[in-house]
Amino acid sequence: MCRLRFLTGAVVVLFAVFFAADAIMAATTGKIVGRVTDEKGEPLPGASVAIEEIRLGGTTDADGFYVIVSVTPGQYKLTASMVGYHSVVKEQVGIRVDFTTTVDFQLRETELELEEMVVVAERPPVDPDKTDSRYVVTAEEIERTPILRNVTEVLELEPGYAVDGSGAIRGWVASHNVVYVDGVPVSGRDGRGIGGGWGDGGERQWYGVNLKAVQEVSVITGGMNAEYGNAQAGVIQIVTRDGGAQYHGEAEYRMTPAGKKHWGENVYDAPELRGNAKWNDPSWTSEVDPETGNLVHPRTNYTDWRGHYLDGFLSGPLFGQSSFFASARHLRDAAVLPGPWRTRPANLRTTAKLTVPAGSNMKLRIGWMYDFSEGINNGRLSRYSFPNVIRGPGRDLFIPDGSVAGEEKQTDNMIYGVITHTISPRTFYEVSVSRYGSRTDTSGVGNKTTAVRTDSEGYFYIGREDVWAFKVGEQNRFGLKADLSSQMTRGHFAKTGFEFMTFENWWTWTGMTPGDAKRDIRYIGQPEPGEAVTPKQFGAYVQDKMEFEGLIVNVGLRYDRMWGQDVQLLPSFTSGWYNAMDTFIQAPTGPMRTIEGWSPRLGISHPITARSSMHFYYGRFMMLPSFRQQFGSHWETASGPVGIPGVPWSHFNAKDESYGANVISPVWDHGHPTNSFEVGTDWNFVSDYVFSLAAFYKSGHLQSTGIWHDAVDPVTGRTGAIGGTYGSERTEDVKGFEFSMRKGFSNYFSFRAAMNLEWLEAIHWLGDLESVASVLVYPDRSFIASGKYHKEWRAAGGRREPVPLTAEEIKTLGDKAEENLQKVRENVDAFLTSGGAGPVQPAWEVEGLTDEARQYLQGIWFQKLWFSTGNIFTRGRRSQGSLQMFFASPLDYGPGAQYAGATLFGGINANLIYRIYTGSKFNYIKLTGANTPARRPLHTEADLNLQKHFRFGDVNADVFVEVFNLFNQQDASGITGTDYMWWGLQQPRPDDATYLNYGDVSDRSRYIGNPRITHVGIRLSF
Amino acid sequence: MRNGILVGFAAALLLLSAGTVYGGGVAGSWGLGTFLDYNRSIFKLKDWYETGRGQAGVVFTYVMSPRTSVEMEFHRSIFENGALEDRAFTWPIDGRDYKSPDAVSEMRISSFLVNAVVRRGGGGILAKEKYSTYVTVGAGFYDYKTDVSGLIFPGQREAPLDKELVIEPFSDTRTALGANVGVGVEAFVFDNISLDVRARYNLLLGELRPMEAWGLEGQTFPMQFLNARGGIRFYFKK
Repeated sequence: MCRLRFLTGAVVVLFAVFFAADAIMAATTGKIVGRVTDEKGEPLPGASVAIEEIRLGGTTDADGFYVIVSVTPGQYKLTASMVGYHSVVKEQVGIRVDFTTTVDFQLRETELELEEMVVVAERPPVDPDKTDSRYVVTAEEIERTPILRNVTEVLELEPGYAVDGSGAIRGWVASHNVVYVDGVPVSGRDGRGIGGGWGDGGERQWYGVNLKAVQEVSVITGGMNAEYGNAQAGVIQIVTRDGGAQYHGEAEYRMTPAGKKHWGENVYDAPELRGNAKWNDPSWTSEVDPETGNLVHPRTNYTDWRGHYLDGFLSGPLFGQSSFFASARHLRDAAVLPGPWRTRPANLRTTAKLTVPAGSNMKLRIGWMYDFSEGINNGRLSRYSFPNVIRGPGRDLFIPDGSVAGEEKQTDNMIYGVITHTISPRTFYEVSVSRYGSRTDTSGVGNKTTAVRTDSEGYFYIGREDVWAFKVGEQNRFGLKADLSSQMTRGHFAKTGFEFMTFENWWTWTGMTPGDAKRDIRYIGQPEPGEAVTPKQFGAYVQDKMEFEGLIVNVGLRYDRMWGQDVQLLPSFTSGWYNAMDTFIQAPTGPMRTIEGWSPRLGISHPITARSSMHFYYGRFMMLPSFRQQFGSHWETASGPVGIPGVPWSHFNAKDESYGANVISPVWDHGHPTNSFEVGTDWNFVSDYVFSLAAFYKSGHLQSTGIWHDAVDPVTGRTGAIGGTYGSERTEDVKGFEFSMRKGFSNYFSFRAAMNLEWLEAIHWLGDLESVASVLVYPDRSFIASGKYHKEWRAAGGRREPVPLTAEEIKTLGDKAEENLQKVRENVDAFLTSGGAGPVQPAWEVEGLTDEARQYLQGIWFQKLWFSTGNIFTRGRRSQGSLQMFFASPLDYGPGAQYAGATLFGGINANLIYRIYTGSKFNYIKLTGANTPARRPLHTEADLNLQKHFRFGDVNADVFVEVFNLFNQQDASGITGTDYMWWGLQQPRPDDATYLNYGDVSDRSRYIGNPRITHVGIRLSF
Repeated sequence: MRNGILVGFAAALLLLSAGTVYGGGVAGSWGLGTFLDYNRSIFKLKDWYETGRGQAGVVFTYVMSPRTSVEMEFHRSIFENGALEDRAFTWPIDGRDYKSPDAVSEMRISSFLVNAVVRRGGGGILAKEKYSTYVTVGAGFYDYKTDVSGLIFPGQREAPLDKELVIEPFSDTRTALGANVGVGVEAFVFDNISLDVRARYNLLLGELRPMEAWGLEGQTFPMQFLNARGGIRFYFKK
C-alpha cells in the first residue's frame, strides 16, 4: 500500500515537474472522508463506503479511515457496510466543489437484531477546510430563488461580488475574472466584443450557461488556489447538471404586461423634444417622406408592447447508463423605448450535456453551449452613438424600425469533452478537450454612407439611405487539459495538471462619427477580415492540501506563459514613420516577447471552536494582457474619408491607439501581477446561522494603462503624440471588509445578507521608472542612414511605398537627429511639466528583445517620463450589499383540505431581494476651491417574487408574480457635478433657460433603470 | 375624533384581554400595543434635523418563552424644522450671508420592524406588578421622505440676489433597510397589561443629499438616531 502511494506521489510530482503542465483544469469535484468504527469506537478496517447513485466508493484502512475522491457536487446517499455488521445509510450528504465533506459511521454487529439504519446527514454550517473566501450556491438554492434569471444575478447576492451589474469582484473589473464551466475556462480576454468595451482592455466575457442547467455555482472572491490562473479579480465556477435515471422536464413562461417602462413622460410628449413635436399641427403630423411615402412623424404605442420569456429543460436516461440534460432559453422582451426593434430579435441560448459511464471507473461527459442573438447594426461605434433608442434632444425619435446598416449576428459556441478516470479510491485524473468559437457578422452593409436626412423643419432625423459600417470577427480557441488528483496520504491531497490553448482570433469594427467627417476602425491582428492572430497559452500548477488535526495548509505554485504570435516589432516607436494605416500594417514584424510568470499561493485554515474557523491567505496572481492590449489598433480619418485611390485603408491616417510588443514596458514580460492578502473567519453562532468576515488587501502592480509616445522627429521636430500604447505603469490598491450572514433553509425560512465595505480603491503612480506616463523616441544618425527611416510615401501598385532618402537628406536629417539627441542628453527634463525623466537609452539593448527586434531597433533611443506620485480615486463603490429572504410553506400548511396538491396557504413561496450600493466616485471642486473626491448618490432596489404551487398527478405547476423595483426607487447614481454637491441639485437650475422654456428635459434619462415592473408567469415540471 | 378612535381601540383591547391570561406557561401568548416616542438625531443626521417626534405606533408581540419575545412594529416619526430653515449661504458675488425666509425642511419616517426581545431573568412577564428589563434587537424597513422647499438659489451670477428665485422643491425618499438595538423595562400593572419604556439606537442605510452651500458637506449616510419610547401593551393567552 505504501509503495503504491509513493508511486502515485512520484507520478504527481513528475507530472508537474517534467510535463510542466498546467492545469487550468479547475476543480469540479469534492471529496468525502471519514472514519468507520464499531459501537465501541474501535476502527473497522476493510469496511466499504459507497455512493450508489454514481457508483463511487472507498474502503477503510487499518485506522478505519476512508476517502472517496472525484465526487461531483450534489446530494447523495452514502452507505457503509461490512460483513458481520448492519449497514448504515446516510442520506442528503451534500458535496461541494473543492471542499472536504466528513461523514463518520458507527456500525453495529449483526448479532443485534436491527434493521438497516438510515440517517439524514447534516452538512456542518462552517466548512473547516476553507482557506479562501468562497461562496457556493447549490441547485436547490437556485430553485428556491426563481426571481433570479441568470448566473450573474445569483452571484450578485454573494459577498464581494458587485450588486450593480458591473460584475466586479472586490472592486476589480469583471474582465479580470476567470470563469470555468465544468472545469473548462469559457471566458477570456481574447478580443470578444471589444467594440463595446474598448476601455481597460475590456473584452466582453461570455459564459452563457442557462441557470436551469446549473448544479452548483461558486465565486471565489479571494484566496484562489494555484489551479486558478490568468485572473486578478476572482474565480467563478459553474458545474452543470447531469441527467438522472428518470426523466424530468420543466417549462417556464413569463410575461411582462404592457405599460411605460421608463422614467419621465411618454417620449412623444416629453420635454426633451424641446417643443419640436407638434401633435396639434395637422401639417406636421401628416408630413410624408417623399422618398419612401411613409409618415415622417409616426407615433407608435410603445407602451402597449408586451414582453415574453420562455425557458425550460429536459433530462433523463439515454442508453445504457448514460444520461442527458438539455435546456434552452428564448427572450422576447419588449423594447423600453421606440427604436430599431419592438421586441428582442431572434435569440436562443442552449446548454446540453451527455454523461456516459465508460466502465466502472471512468466517466465521459460531453457538454455543448450555444448562444445566438440577432441585433441591429446602428452604423455607429457606441461612443458616437447614433440612436438605437432615443437619446439627447430626441432628434432620433422617428428613425424607422430596422437599420440601413445591416443586421448583426452574434454566435457563441462551445463544445467540450471531459474524461474522468478513477485509478483508485484515492486517485483520479481528468482530461478535457474543448473548442470555443465566437462569431460576429454583419449582413446587409451598404456600399457607402449617405447623409442623414431630416424632416422639413430640419430637426428630426428620418434616417439614411445607406450606411457603410460593419462589425465582423471570430474568436476560436482550442484547449487541451489534464489534471491529476491524489489523496497521497491521509494528510496530503495533491493536485497537478497542465493546460495548453491555441487561439485563432480576429476582429474588425468600423463606423463613422455623427457628422461623417471622420471614420473610425478598430481591429485585432490585421484590418482585413479573416487575418487572425494565433498565439499560444500555457499554464501549469502543483498544489498540496495538507490536513493535520484540523489545521489545513493549502500550498501551491503556478506558472503561466503566452507566446507565439508575430507582431509589429515596435508599433509605437515606428508610427512616427508609418503614419497612416496602410503603411503601418507594412511595418516590420517579428515574434512577440514571451510573457510568463510564477504565482505562489498559500492558504491556512484552522478551527477556533467546533463551530468556527479562521483562515489566512497570501497569493500572487499573474494575468496576461488582453488581446486588445497586445494585438489591437485603432485608427481614424483625420479629416473626412479621403485616401489615396486604390490604396486600401489609406484614408485612416490618424492613429489613436496601437498596442503590441512595447519593448519598454515590463508588462510584456510579466503580465499584470497582483498580491493579495486576506484573513477571515466563519462562525456558526446559533442554530444554522453563519456569520462570515474577511478583511482583504489587494495590490495590483504593473496595471495596464495608456502611454503616449512622442517621436522627436528630425523632419518635424517634436511631433507631439504619435499614438498611445498599452503599458503597465500604475498600481491599483483595494482594501476592505467583506461580511455576510446566512441562514440555511429550516422552519420554512432562510435568508442571506452580504455587505462589502471598501475604504480605499485607488490608482496611483509610484513616481519612479515603474510609473511611466509617456515615452520620447529619438532616431540617431545611423537609423536615418539605415533605410528604415521614411519621410515620404508614394502610391505604387495598389499600395504606398516609402520614398528613399537622398544622400543630402540623409546627411541633413542625420545631423538634425544627432542635435535632438544631444539636446535631450544635456537636459533630460526638457519636456517635463511634473514628475521625472529617465536617462536616454538605446532601445536595441533592452533586455529580452528578439533578434529581429534588436536588429530593427538599432539606432533608436528612448527616454521614459513619469508622473509624480499621486492617487486617483477611481471607479469603486465604497459600500454595497444585498439581502435575500425566502419563505416557503409546506404543501399541507394551514387549515383546510388540499386542493390540487396544496392547502390554501400551502405551497406558497415568497422571495424578497434587496440591493444597496453607494455611488461611484468622482472629483469635484469644493466651494472653498479645493479639488476633492466625492461620490454619486446611493441606490437601493427591492425585488419580490410570490409563487403558489399546485400538483396535478405527476405534474407540478407554479404560478407566480414578480415585482421588480418594488418600492419604485429612482436610481440617481449617475448624477455628478458641483450643482449636486454644492446645492443638492439633481434637477436643472431654477434659472436654466431650457428648463424655463420646456421643463425638465432630462426627466427620462437622468435616472438609471426602470420604475416598478411586474411580471407574471407559470412553470410546469414533471 | 382621532383621539376618540384610539381611546376606543384601547378600551376594546382592555376588555378583550381582561382575564385571558392566567397562570401556567406564557409561551404562545401574544399582545398588541401602542406607543409614543421621542427621537433625537445623532452624527451627520443631526446637521439636518435635531429632534423628531413620534406619532402613534403599533406593535404586535409574540411571547416565545419567558425570556424571549418577537415583535412586529409599525411606527411613524416626523422630524420638523430642519436645519436648512435657519442656515445661511454665503453668496460669492457679494460675500454676504443669506437665509431663505420661506425655507421648509422636514422628514417623515415610517418603519416596519421585526424585533427580538430578550429579558433578563424571565420571571417578570405576564404577572401583575412584576417587571422585567430587556435587550432588544431589530431590523426592517424604514421608509423615509425628506421634503425641502423655499431655498433661495445661491448659483445666481448677477447682483442683486433675486430672493424669489428658489430651488424647485425636492425630496430624498427611499425604503431603506435598517436596524436597531436598545434596552427597556416592561412593567405589568395587571397580568395582561403592561407599560413599556425603552431606549434604542436606530441605523438606516439611507442617504440625504449634500448641500455644501448650507454647510452640509457630502452625503449623510448612514442615518442614525436615538429614540425613547413609552407605550402600553395588552396580552392575550394563546
